[in-house]
Amino acid sequence: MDMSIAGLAELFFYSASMWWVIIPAVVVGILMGAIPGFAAHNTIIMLLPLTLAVDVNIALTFMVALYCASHLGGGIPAILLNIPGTGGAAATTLDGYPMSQQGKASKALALSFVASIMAGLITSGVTLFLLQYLSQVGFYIRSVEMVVVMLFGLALIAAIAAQDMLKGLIAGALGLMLGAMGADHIYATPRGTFGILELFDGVPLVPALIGLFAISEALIMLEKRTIAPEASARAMPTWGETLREILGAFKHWFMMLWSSLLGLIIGVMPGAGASIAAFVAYQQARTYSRTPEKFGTGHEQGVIAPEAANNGVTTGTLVPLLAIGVPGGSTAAVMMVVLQFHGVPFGPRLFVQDPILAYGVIMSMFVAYIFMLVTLFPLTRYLSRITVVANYYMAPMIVAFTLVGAFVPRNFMADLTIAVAFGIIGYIARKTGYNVAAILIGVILGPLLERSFLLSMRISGGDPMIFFSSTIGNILWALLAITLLASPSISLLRKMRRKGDIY
Amino acid sequence: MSDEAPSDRKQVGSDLIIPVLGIAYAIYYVYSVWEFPAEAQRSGFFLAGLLFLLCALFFLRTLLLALRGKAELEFLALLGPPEGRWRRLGFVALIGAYLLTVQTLGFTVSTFSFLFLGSMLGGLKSARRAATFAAIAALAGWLFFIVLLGTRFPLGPFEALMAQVMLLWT
Amino acid sequence: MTRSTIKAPSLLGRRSFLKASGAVAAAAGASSLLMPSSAFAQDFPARNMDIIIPTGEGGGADRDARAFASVWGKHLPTNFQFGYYPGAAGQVGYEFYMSREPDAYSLIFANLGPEVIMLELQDTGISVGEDIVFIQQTLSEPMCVWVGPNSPHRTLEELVEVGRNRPITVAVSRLPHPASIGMLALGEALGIEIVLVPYGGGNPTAMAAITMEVDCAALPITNSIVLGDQSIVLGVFADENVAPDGTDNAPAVNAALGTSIPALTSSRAWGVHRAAYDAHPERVARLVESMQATLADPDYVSAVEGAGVPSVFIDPGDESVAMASAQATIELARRYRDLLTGS
Repeated sequence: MDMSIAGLAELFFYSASMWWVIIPAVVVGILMGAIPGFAAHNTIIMLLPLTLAVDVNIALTFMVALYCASHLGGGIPAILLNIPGTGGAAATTLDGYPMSQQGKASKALALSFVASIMAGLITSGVTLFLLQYLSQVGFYIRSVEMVVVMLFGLALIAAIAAQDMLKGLIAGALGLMLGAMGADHIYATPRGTFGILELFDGVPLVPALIGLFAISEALIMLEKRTIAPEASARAMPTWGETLREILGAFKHWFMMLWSSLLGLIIGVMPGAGASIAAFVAYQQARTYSRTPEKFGTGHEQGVIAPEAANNGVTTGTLVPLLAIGVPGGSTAAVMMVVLQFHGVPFGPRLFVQDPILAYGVIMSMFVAYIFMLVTLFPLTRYLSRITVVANYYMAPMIVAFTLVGAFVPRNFMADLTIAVAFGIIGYIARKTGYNVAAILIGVILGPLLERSFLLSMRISGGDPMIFFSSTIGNILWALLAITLLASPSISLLRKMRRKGDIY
Repeated sequence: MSDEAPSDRKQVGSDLIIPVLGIAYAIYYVYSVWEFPAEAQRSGFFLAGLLFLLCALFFLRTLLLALRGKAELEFLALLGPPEGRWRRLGFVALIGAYLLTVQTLGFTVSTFSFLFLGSMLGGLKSARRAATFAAIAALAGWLFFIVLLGTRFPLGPFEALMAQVMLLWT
Repeated sequence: MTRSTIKAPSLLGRRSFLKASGAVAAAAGASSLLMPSSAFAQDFPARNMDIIIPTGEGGGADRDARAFASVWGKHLPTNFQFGYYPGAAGQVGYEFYMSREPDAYSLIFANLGPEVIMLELQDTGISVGEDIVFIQQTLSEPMCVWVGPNSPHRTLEELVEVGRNRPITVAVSRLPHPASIGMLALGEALGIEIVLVPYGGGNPTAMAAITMEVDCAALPITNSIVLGDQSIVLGVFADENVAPDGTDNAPAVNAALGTSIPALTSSRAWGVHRAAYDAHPERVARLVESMQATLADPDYVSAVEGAGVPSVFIDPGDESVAMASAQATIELARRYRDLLTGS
């Protein structure tokens, strides 16, 4: 599976010669990523007639570029409107939107774009060289280890609930309870669904996301004239200011590196995804920050960490498909359909029969991120204007168009009603100080945690000691314990230092 | 995130809605899995228990506040500032009306009506501007979501008309 | 939305890509503009066919339905729209299908084994024959038991030997599945304990076997053929292994272990509402005729092989064959009801 430097260089120029595929894909991807509900895999399904009609190299390049760009796009509405375009951008709202409210939307966008693009370049570059080692990650992460990874994500509930711990925990527990809705993982019998068919597969994530974030936000928006304070955001940043904001983002290079690698590893794990990676990265960034109290108030690192992680994941989810032949996520599954249709083998055989295609997938990702650099300036400069559009235009438009997004993934009319129901829950939660992100974390991670837990317990014959039976699992447990204890101990130390008890 | 209460007494009425909803759902959930195999029940029972415990602590905290005379049962804060309150309630009703009619009216007509009435309810004064905005947005949405992307969102009279026009044209 | 008649041309250049994308966008636009109005229909089909797949995209059903539709368009000139409705072991897809207009424009692409078992065991209110008729069978494949490339168990006998000392963990797609029944029957016959671990789909099940989270996996045999070197087939739940090449020349389970487990297969079949079957016999006849023409088309054989499925699994069968296969599965499900439902 190894490739020489010369081979990689040749591949780079080959991928770059596909600019006429990558540029439209990047544009479509950013746009679709920014509309909740469309995301990469729904868009790719809609465009299947196109991708099945063209040569497999072109189709793959197009899909890969669109996939990466959609994760960059997902952060835009998260920052500007408090509405994550994809589940992976939910954590971005926590600090991105407060920045917009303070009139710093273009700065937040610059952070998000730089983090996304750098993470994409870092992880696709790393993957090109380390593909065969990365593919091994899947062999060590099984249901047992997944349980601990999910707990890392859930720990974020406690972190973002810091303002009122009890309310935050209630929000998280409510999310988990709602996440337990739907057919059970073993016998497939529907639970707590009110007999509604559309809930048999559990709470549909996109309508829940749209309701909790978009619809509730639209209702609250009507209380104000615009999102940003009118005076502060009237003036659009100049090109010079835009450049400074973009360059300023690079001072968080270490956070980008660490979060993107975290995203890459989580992406390689079967069944994990962008939302988990973003939650975990945010939680890690907050825990080891010198100023954890600033997270949630419009802190720059709170935008960097989730955006770097969710773009790191895009590279990771392709690794199992390429290296083992089993797709790691829904977008990879759709790519597999295209490969199958063209009669191209995947998994290790792909590297034997068509190594150019196999490495080409990762290289086109790398090249797509380079092309995204071009979009950086105009997007950063102009998009922030959205926050000064009058809310009487924005609120109805958000509701009307995100409801289409709620419908698209499953084509169920009931998903519109589900989105509105979650919208009302989200509205009440926001008005009364229950964190909607905490509810969403529960809804997303709850079912995944339950599945991994039940599978492990089945394998062990009901012996809970299985959770401590693997080395990697135990290391993860130890890290989890450190993470959970680190935050309170670090702040305790700081408090003591301030009081002069210790030096 | 709570709205500031006008008096120094904390308004707690609306704070109770989420825990009460949560407990109601948890009770229904437990009831719905009561006769299921243990593996299908386990997580539900655990989560319901957790939610009960947390909500019990919350109710206790609220009760203690009330006993010290620091809380009042008040729900109006939930509806946001008094100014424009009825308009916002009207907007919620409009969303309900949209859900009820979208399947008959189809994407374009229902989106146009929703955007027109929604922007007026949101505070836009000029009906002409509202109509222009709604028409442009609905047509753009139709072109993008229905024609270009081919989503299967319900079609209505406008889409039928355009289909006839297309047939005549081709 | 999917235009199945489009076949992959060889290396397209930039111009033809742009042309193709324009054409596809225009076709997509035009097709969505055309309102469903059977009143104006001169011929069937007057509009797109809706294909309901009760599992997720990228799974075996998706693969086989697309291979079929890629040739079907030649014999039934229309577009085929695919919709995926996974959930509750296929129940969501079937209930959603039943809610569709019974006009023979909506078809369900069934995996007769697991889905008929699900319909029998779960409280769906949908009954094979009374509500859905399977009008044409396309492929049949046996169930098999296999392990990942690094597994210490290299033969069925070695696996059974392990089972004499401790329970064997078996990754399956779901409990109501012929492969699950096969493993339970194996355990029953040899007196070993089988623990079924349902991963909720072919791909995660395969991953569990490859990473050795479990001792082995039991799935329809194509899953392991498609995986190539990543799987080693230990035994096939059939009278003989008809595809020895892609399956490591694995023996039939009964021949290797001296058991007498019934052959466990799953067949893909096209299903239609009973109401449509009764109300529009001419449409159903047109569908069946075009399906049979597809099955007889050499291009279909290439499409199946292109998707990595051995052509020996092409198993055309008319309504009587498909319904008989469903009936046999119903009886198996009744026999193993308790073990599969946890009751």
